[in-house]
Amino acid sequence: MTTLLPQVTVTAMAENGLIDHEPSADARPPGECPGSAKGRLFLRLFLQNERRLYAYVRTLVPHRADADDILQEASLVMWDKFDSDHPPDDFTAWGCRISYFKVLDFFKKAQRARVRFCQAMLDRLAETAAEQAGTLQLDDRRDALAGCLEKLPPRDQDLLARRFAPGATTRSAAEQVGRSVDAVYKALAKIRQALFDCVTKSLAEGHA
Amino acid sequence: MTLRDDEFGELRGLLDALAEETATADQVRRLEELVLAHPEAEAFYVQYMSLVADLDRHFAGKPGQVARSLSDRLVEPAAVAAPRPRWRFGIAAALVAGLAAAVCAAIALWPRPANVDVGVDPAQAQAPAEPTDDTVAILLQAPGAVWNDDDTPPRVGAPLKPGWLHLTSGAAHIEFYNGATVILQGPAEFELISRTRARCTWGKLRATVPPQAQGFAILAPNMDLVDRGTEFGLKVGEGEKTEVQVFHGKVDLYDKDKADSGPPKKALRTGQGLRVDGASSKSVKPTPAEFLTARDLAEQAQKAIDARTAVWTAASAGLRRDPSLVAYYPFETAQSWTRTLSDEARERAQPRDGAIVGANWAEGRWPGKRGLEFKRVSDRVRVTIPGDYESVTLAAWVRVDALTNQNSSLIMAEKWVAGALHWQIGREGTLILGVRSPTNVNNAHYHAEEVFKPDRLGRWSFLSVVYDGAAGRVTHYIDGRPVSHEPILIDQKVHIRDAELGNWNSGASKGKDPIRFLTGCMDEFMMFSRPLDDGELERLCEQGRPPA
Repeated sequence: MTTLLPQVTVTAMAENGLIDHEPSADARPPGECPGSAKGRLFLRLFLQNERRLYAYVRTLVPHRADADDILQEASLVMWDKFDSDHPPDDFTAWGCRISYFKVLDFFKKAQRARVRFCQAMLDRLAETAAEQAGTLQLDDRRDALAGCLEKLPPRDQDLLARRFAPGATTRSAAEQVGRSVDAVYKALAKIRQALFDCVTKSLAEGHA
Repeated sequence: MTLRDDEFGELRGLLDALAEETATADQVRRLEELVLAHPEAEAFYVQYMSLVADLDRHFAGKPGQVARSLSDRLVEPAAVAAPRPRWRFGIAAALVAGLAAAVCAAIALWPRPANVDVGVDPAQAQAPAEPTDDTVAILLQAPGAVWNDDDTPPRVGAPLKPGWLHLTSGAAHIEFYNGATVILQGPAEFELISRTRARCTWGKLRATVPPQAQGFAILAPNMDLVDRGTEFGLKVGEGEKTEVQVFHGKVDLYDKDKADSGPPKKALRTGQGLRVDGASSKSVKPTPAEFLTARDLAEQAQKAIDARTAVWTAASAGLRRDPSLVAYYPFETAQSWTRTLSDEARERAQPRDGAIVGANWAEGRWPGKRGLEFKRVSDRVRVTIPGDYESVTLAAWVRVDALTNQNSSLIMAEKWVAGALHWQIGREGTLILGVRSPTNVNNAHYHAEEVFKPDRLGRWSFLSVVYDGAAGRVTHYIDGRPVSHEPILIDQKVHIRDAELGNWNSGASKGKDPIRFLTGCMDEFMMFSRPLDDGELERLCEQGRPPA
């Protein structure tokens, strides 16, 4: 997907009249970024907000792979619309709005219904999730999570690492540790519960 | 409407199913029902999913790091081309890389008005000029020398640039490029001016000037000396009292700053000496015994070597009795043709001798101490050290001559399976202990960033690393001092088994290995099955350090 993107973007831009001449002989090939001010600013803002935006999309679209795809699409639109002379005051809120439309787009186009909430649910969640994303709550929760992960017994940390390794599934993790898939489901549920309680407690106690 | 306890339990169950991506359509409907009916459920849902999202991101490619380093890197031209290997994993990384590529492509093709800053081309590299050198002499030896410099003290064997040498005590044997040598005795203040000229404002020295170096000049506080061959002594003391003694040949004396401009004020010949004290001067008889010769220095150096050898030999004998010593290679050999590296741990109770391949015997930390020299892709010592360990300490005396390869191996396990150890030095001078993790988990690499500085090249260093399974910590040491601490990432036992010193054989059937041979010399290696503490490592270093 990575190699296709530049072409897609270029075409889109050409179609929208954003490029008014053919690529010149001295155009640099993709990968040699001259580092314009606009690019730097956008990337900085985007990267600062990436996790918040991901959490937002994932709340609306619980399926991991779908959420990733949607965020990727949304990021291109964000780049497209970004005006470095007038950057949005609240990048998070702006990014969430764009992501929301991409979520709707996705559900319109998606052939297989994975997890797909009804419109009422989406509307309700969009509001709450955007609010969450915008506040410090989300950052605090993330920081608390790091601390809570360290408090887990090594066996649990190991299981999490295996389950969330790239390309891993619950089945593959279960095979590695030599337990049944069911047992691993239960263990993961317990771990998530423990983490959730720990994070909530950390926030209540005012520890970041 | 508040959520009942059983409804809350149900909600949890539904969320688990959602997180595991096993939720049925019915479950999704039920979830919607609960969330839409109860604000508490909605809040819980949102918080729970943000936890799920964070967990994902936490393990998949560590995007926090990615985000930070990417934002640094993407403002540099041409840094986007290839993401660093760490970023192979993680959707976040792919997302960011893809976005970055798109951004860069767009920027590249944007119409460029004249006043837009499109980035700076690196300045055209100058055609490299022939390298020049401004050193004037070499410090041949300095037995027992104590230097008083603000900068790093001069290294024995190092070329010297013009400048001052402040010798607090001991002796220094300096060879100028023109062939003249000076043996300086501390305390002394000596300035190297050029290949043919020096200055002494304090101290004692013996200068030897062969015919090729005739005209070598030393400037004293109140006179200039020009040697016409071959040997003289100079003493400069309190109140600029200067004494010149000619042991052989002829020395011309000039007034200060008047060397070689016109005839000398006075000429001294073999057996003549002159002491100048303020305005008065008087003849003196030379006392050559007062001035150290090269031979004296060599004898001093040998004494120092003998002392060190004695200390080390005693320490090494003691070490052999440590029951936690799994393998100990003192690199001793009676014959230069032996191709076995003998393991002396625990008085050879269960020797794990190594097989030497390619590497040749060479001088180790001092004359008389043997070591093995590694310099080609073939050079290695094959060892087999069985056992799985909760904790290990690895230690070695090495002289790294260059960091030629991306990684220079100290010891590397052959089969890269869970628990295997790799101990190596990265090209930037980072000490690395790599531990293979179980499949699908990121391998653990414990670093001491760039601690092996370039001025260590060509010098002997005592490197060690402690993998403390009980305390859950990895510590790197240089010369017995800790230089990094890191927590152990994965709870597992570690091993060496089949391995190589100074190289790496991955055991891959395809036969092409990354080149990781050490460029330099190793003359002692030890492996303990327990974590040594700071004091023990410092002691080991002190017992084994080469003579100054």
